[in-house]
Amino acid sequence: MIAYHLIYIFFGLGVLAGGVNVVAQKNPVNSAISLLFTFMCVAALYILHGSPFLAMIQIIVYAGAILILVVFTIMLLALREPGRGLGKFWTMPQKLAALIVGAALAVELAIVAVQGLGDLAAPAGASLAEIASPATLGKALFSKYLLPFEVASVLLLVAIVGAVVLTRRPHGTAAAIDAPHADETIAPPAGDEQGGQA
Amino acid sequence: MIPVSYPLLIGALLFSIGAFGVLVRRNAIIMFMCIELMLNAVNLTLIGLSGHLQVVDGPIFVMFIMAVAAAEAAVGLAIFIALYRRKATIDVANFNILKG
Repeated sequence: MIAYHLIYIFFGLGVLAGGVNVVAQKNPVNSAISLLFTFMCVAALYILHGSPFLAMIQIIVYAGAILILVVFTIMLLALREPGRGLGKFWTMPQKLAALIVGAALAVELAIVAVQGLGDLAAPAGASLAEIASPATLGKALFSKYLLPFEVASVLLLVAIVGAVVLTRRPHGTAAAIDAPHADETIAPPAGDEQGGQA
Repeated sequence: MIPVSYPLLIGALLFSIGAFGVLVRRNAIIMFMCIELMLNAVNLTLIGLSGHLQVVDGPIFVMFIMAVAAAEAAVGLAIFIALYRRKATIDVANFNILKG
């Protein structure tokens, strides 16, 4: 049983270390990889809570969809190029204010978490194994939470349309996003043609 | 079993780290990643409390939060691309036209 606690604390510390690394890394790609590590550790915590189903959803949605979108955006925006100030932090006054706000938030939430525990009823089982099984979740999702479920599907549809509309290039304008790659995209075909002729 | 204070404390610290990151970073994509950290902290808190109280609502809300996070990722990253087209940067210090 003590090993169970130690494994939980190990992955919990992994979550926190990954979170700190996301904030601390200058390169957005390194932050993204740290974020992947954090998501995986959170998925491990879900498994330790007795809910492998939610852990798989966590990996598929967060690590599989959201993080890939982030990495693709980093690639599309060519954020590796220096001189754009992309690794910058805010300067001292704002940094100090952020530190105070973050520390205050952490202390407040920790106090609430510890003090609020006295009000909670004694745990019946403390494991999610039966509560969060796919069958139970499906029944709740299609009975009690049917309306939010349908609203969520509409929300996803609106998000798809919104993403397409936002990224659509206006007619007749040269997009700035293509500029960094302009010579790269033109050069390789010319090189191939010359190579073929030679 | 696991004490309920473990997920609550980890969630509290992770949320604070995410809030600190949003406030201290200037790169919009890294700020977005910190928002994802905060969402994960809330998910972990919901899971921990749901296991403690033996209610199904926590995992259901986790699934809804994941759906909202996916929608947010699609729209948010599209906004970053639109911003980048306009100013060729996503440093949020350059987007201050609402400043009085």
